[in-house]
Amino acid sequence: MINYKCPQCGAYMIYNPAKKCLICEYCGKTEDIKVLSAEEQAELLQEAEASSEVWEETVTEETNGEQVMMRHYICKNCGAEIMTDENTAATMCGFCGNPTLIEDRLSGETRPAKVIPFSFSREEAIEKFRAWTKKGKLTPSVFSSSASLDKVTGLYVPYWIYDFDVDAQMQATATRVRHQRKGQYEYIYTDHFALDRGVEVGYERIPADASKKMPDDVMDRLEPFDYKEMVAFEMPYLSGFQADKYDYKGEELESRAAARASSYAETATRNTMNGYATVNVVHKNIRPKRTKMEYTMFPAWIVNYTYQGKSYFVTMNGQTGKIVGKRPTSVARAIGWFAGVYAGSFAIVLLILAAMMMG
Amino acid sequence: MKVGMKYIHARPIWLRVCMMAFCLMLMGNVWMTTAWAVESLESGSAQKVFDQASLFTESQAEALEERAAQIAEEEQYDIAIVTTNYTGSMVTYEYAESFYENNGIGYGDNKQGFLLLIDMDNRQVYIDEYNAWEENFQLSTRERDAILDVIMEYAYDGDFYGVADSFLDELPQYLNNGISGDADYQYAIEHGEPGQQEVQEPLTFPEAVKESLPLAALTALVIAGITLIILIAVQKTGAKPSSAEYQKGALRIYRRNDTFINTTVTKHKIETSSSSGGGGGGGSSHHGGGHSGGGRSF
Ligand SMILES: [Zn+2]
Ligand SMILES: [Zn+2]
Repeated sequence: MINYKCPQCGAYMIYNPAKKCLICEYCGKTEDIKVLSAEEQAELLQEAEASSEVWEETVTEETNGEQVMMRHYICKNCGAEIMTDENTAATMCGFCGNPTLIEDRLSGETRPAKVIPFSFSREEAIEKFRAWTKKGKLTPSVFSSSASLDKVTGLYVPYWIYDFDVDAQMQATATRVRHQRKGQYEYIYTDHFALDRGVEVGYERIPADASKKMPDDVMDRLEPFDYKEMVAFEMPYLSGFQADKYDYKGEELESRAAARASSYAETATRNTMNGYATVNVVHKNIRPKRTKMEYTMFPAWIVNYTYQGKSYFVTMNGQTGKIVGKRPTSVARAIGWFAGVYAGSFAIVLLILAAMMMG
Repeated sequence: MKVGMKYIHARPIWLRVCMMAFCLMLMGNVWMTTAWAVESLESGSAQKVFDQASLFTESQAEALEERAAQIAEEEQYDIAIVTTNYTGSMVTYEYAESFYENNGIGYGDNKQGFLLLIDMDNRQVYIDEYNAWEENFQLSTRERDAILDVIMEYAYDGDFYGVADSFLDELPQYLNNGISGDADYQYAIEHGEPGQQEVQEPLTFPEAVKESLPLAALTALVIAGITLIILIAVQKTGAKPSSAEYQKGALRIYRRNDTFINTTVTKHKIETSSSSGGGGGGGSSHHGGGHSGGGRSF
């Protein structure tokens, strides 16, 4: 268990998304991660290494019956207890905020190749969330002010990203229709064609989330991430955030990404069969070949909130701010909108119809 | 490759269809020239019964022939009773009309007359009228339906002599007496025969509003419903990403073959107006050129 300490004052340092560097929250000293050598990183770590001591290990049972090994650590900063599960790679002391990284879960096989760092702070995330709650015509008016934010967690989610070269073969029958009028008769000519396509297309960095606890559907909807800001992985990016190591190995998720690549390639190939009235695909053979696979971590804000005794959670892309979630719906507002639109359109339609009937 | 094989097999069929169409065209031409040559007698064509499907016995055919000739003479319109097992590429009414035109059927200069077609190929009974614009020679939709009501009973039982015989019973009755004009008008209103609707008086505003109420209520319900569905959908955010996000470079199409296989042709008559035939077993009715008519399936 490690953390980064300020070489100037000895306080801990965390990653700052706005300044894109490690910053000491006490004296303001910054360290640029990209120019930091391995030795300098190790120097920053020196102080903390003494605190890597497991205090207790317990086994708890999750709601789904799975047994989870919990490790309890003692925060060297304040003496409080820091709890981690089997996958925790980075966390913070819940009491004093002391950022801690679990090095052996971020090295060797479990060291990510790339990372997209958080691009905005926790405060901005809360602001974006508040703005989101104000939108939506059916959102209860008191909601944005009265919803209580239970937890806003910045989490690095483990992802595998894949490159594929896809070879798509597709055969189809197609028709074109011509009309011709001769005297009293209309002739309809249908020209039949046989179409054959061979297409090669590449896809790069198709992501698949490797975390068991994050629902796949939600994580797919968090996309797209902007890969221009993806950088080589360094542990300091995780300082001050939560991070989980992967639950699934890259090979285990490959078929999920391959299915996406195949479906994209199929659509692209089908779209080359244009200019016909009907196209009926009779045979296809789509073969995706994986050319690259990398372990990465992508940023997400997990917001838990309570409204009228019910708890909700939304997920926010930590890079783009895109929100996946559902705002609460006010039944009163829904009825109001329905009645209002009904009355308005009824009056207008009635007048138009009456005017038409009177000629 | 499986697909390719299918296309190779398809070629002879296409050729055969073309050859058949060509033959039919030739036959049609010969038919028409001979039709011109047939001298039309004052009382219509010499032959009244064309039993190509052999549905009648010899004595039945003779009896029908005799009765039809007698009615044609008395009533001054021609009558033809046609049966067929094969209509080729034509649908029932097309066959009836072309048979009428190509076999010298018709009375007098106007060539007015009626043709009863028992089409075993499409299992339809069809009544065709030609140049029946004089009131006496005109069947209204209602009258034609009434005749079909009677004669179809025989068709359902497979008694095709009964169909033809009862047709000869019914037709002169309706043409001489008709169904009273009033009833016919009533029928047209009920069944919406075009061109016979009464012109409505302009409505006053309260009347127009009252008339519009149900439709306006329904339309507003649909608009409000759709609005609500959209608003509820907007409560949820987070759309799936598009494939464009991940495509690397352009699509490389290394094989692109669009091979022409064949052409199929269908034709249909351009209708000027139509009205429903109604009745059991479904029906149809046509007005095109000097022909009008209606029929039912059995
Ligand atoms: Zn400091
Ligand atoms: Zn602490």
